[in-house]
Amino acid sequence: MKHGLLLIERVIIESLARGPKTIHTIIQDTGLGSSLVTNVLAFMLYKNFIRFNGQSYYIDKETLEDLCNGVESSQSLKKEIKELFDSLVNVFFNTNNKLESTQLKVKKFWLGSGDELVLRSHLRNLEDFFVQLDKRPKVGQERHCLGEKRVFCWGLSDYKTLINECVKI
Amino acid sequence: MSLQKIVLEQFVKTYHQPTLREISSLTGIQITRVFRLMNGMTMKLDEYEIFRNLLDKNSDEFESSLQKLLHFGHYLPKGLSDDLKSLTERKLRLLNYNTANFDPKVLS
Repeated sequence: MKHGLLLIERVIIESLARGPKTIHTIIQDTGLGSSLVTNVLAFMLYKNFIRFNGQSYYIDKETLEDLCNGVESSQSLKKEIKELFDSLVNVFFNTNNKLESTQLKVKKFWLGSGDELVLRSHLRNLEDFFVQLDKRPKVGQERHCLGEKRVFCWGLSDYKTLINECVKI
Repeated sequence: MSLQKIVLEQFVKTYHQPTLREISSLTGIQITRVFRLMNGMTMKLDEYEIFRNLLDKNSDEFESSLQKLLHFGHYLPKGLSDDLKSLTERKLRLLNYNTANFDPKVLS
């Protein structure tokens, strides 16, 4: 797709990548509204990204490989991360509906070389923790809804670099 | 569909599902009255005008931004025009998914 997959399209593909599903199961798995799911599925059928056997929607193995290559390209990932960040910021600053499960913290600080080593070691520990989470036995995991997954973002850069990137048009 | 229903639906969409309190603060109409209007009580003409004016104001602001963009026209740097094109296409795709009379052929 020319302008990349939207988050709602991506989550439906992720859901179908776990196995064929009826529209009802997709709604349960993703937590999206029924009319939205119906429309996205209609578009994906039209684009031949997915198939329908009269009962369930599914993705061909070949199509899935093509989609995965597209979905994991750096441009596509960039758009996904931007969309996730936008949502995270919007949800966090939505004063009407503060969610306990959403946190967002940004810190600007000066960092000595010793402290930088400590920080990098903390980041490394975080990454190791996520690798371990992925490796945990998947007993009953398949039954968990995709929409119940948690999203955690982290990053580190120089203030100057980010400001200079902002200046670029 | 009655004019009242259309204007209220447009208002709710434009202002991203505002709460009764927010509608009251935006329009200056008492919250209990807003509650009644949202539940189908017939609007007075001056109340209709308040909602209509807020929608028109929002539309004017958007048109003004669009005019500024058109003023730069072909002189937009490629990076910026690519970003705007991609953002617009993606937001329109999302908008299309959210409409009742969705047509997959319209999307790119």
